Amino acid sequence: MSEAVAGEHTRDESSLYVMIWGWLIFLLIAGLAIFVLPISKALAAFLIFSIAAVKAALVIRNYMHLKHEHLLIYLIVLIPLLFFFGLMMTLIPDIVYRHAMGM
Amino acid sequence: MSTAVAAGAHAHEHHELGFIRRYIFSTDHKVIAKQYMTASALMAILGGLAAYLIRWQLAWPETDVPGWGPFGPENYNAYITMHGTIMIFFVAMPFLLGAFGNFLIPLMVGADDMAFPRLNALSFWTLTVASTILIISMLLPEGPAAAGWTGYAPLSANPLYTGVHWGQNLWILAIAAEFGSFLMGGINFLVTTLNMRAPGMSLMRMPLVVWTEVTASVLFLLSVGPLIAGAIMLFLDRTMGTGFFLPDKGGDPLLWEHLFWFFGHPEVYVVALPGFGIMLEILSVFSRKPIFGYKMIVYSTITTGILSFVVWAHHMFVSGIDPRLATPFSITTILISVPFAILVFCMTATLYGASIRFTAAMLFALGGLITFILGGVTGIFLGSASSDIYMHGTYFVVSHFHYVLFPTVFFGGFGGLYFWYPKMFGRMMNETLGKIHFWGTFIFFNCTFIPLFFAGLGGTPRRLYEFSNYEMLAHLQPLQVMATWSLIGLLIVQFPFLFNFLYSMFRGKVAEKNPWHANSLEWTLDSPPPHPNFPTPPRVYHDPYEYSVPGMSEDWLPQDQPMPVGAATAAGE
Amino acid sequence: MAPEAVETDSLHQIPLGKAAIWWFLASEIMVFGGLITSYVLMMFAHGGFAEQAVHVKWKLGALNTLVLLTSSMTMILALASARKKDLEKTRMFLGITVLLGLTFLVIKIFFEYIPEIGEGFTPASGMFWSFYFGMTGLHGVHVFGGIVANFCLFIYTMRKVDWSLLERRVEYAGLYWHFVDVVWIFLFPLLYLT
Repeated sequence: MSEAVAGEHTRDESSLYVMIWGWLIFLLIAGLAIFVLPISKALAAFLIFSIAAVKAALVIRNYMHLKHEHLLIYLIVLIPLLFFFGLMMTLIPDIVYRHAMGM
Repeated sequence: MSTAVAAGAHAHEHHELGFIRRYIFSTDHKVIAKQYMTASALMAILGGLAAYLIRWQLAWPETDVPGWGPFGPENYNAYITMHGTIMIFFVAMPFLLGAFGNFLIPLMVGADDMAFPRLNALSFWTLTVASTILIISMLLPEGPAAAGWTGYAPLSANPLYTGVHWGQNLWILAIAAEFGSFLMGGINFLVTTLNMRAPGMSLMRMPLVVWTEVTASVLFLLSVGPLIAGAIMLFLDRTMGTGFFLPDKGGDPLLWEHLFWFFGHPEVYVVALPGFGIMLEILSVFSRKPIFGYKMIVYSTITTGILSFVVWAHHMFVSGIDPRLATPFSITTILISVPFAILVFCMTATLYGASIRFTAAMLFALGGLITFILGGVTGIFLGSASSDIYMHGTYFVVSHFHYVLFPTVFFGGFGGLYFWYPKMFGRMMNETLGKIHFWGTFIFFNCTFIPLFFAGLGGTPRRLYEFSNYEMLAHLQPLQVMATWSLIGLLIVQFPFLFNFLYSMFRGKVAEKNPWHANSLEWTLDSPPPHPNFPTPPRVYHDPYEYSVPGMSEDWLPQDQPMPVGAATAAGE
Repeated sequence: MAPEAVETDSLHQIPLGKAAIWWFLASEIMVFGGLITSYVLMMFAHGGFAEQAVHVKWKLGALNTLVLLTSSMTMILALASARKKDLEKTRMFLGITVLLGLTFLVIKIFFEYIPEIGEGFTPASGMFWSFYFGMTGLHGVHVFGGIVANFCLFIYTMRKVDWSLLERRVEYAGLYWHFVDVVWIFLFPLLYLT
């Protein structure tokens, strides 16, 4: 990045970063609010993890600059996430089921 | 780019480095490769010694082992654990990835060194720390880890069951350090290959061994995480009273097995693929023919890599998993034989119509191919859950995995050694001794493990130190004896090789730049290559398999020379 | 015609260090993924996590989340300052990030772990607690590593700097720091809120 462009970018960059922080704090408080509300646990869990996902996406896209990065970097992030989900989904029928059956 | 140039410039500023900086803490990938090779050779001696002790005990139980002394049942589990752990983590990976990966990748892609030379040195020294930890564990009074290289819980999770306390803990730490070492190395391989290739060196023009090393690096990087998680949990179970894998505390031993094998299966491809890559290079050069199906091989390698992540539970068919899981995993396991078969087919097809030069390197590549095929085929019986029920835990499995690991690591590795020795050390190895080494290794290896297939089919279980309790196995004992004699022969025939290796370094015929008339970039440099590798940056014009191109006077064409006008290209690029 | 050397598809536009950090983070995703997978599996299989989890100090956890999120912001602001070649601001933001990281660890160790152990909740107290200490412990080790890295950069800004080097290293340390933050973003609800 050339210095001149970088200089302009960063003036807007900083305010963007602070704004993202604002959203992160707002989402944190929203999550806590849901936690204390008397709603069903399953619904609360779903909402809370959705909020967490949004927070994570904000950090990854904006603080880690993923939205500006090369496709390879996207893949380097995406593929492990897919493997992680795959592993979890594959093991639920085994470990959870067997314990549920009392084995 | 500029970072690499900066790092390279820093490394090769023309000041004379002292002995320590040049040979001990070197950041030159070629020196580091040789360090890895030395480390794996030393550990191989330990691993081979363990094999000798184990096999002696199996053939002649309760007798003193010549050159060692008494060897009782209380040691057996520790020695099989050490044999497996050392061979896979401290011999196979350092040899195929640490040594060959490090030596070849920068040279073959046209880079002056790895992307991170100091990280490279750190990765080697981390491995040395890991090896030291493991060796220390062998010197403890209770002995080293004794729960198998697979460390199944709860045997590994509760010190009471093996009677080994710190030996097992150190085993966990040693393996964790080894993982760290190869993660660092793998990152170096990946960044160097993806980001530092010379002009003209597109991905589809790289030598296949680079493809296999890179795929192996990705496989390792993505699969090791869950096992690191598991290792932490195992360590906590052993030291902090947690019960992740202990049933009496509500834990699940199968969780360990899942986490282990999620890594363990891709791990065997981490070991197998580079060995195949080496064989591919040798086959092409000494057939004087292009590799058959370069693109198919690349796609098969990648497909194998992807599939390797979804087959792991075939190691667990009889462990107590939900039987309904066995079906999908049987299917994926049978499926993974397809890309591997394609690989083997392409290698065989390369030989068709070839003008074969039977050098020692070529013999090892061919021998590796043949023995691997036998190993792969026996895997089919194990991959199908129904037949695996009978054969799991028997010597059939032992022979199967030795028939896939030994060919890739040792036949591929030795082949690579004979092939690249001139480039690494500037001298030629003795071909006659090489041929003796090959035939001895080939014959004795087969004679060791073929009897064990039959022992397994006859019902001989693994991991038992002797079988006198089992009437039904008494008639199989001659097979065990034959296997042991052959193993002794196998170990003895490595001595001519050792002699050849060391003697040739000082008295071998001086090697020219390109004694084999091969095409990849490393052969355009001096033997051994200078530091930095490429005094003039190379420019690449085609893939490295342009052998026997019609219309050309020579039967080879280096990658950095353009195709002459009027010559037909093999790949049609 | 002889094919000319094509321009390689080598990814020169991605700086080497950045590529390396991302590959490293990929392996770390798998490590924490392995632990989280195990937690989720045991949670469904075991039952009884809810009773054990009643005693976690969720308000302190929330405070720590606030601390870490803020430290992410200060870390990226450090990078922005480095890009503007503002040494004072870079040093300040790095310093604040280090302090916030230490705050996180202090809260964790002195206001959570030690009181919890005092109340009788150790890693051996039950499956939930084993995971709680194991996962937050591993995360804490990573936080500590990040603090050390950031502190080294802070020290570097005390003297004359090579801007291109500083900018790159602040970026790479930042990527690691943000990753540690993202892991906590998931650990917090997982261990404290569900």
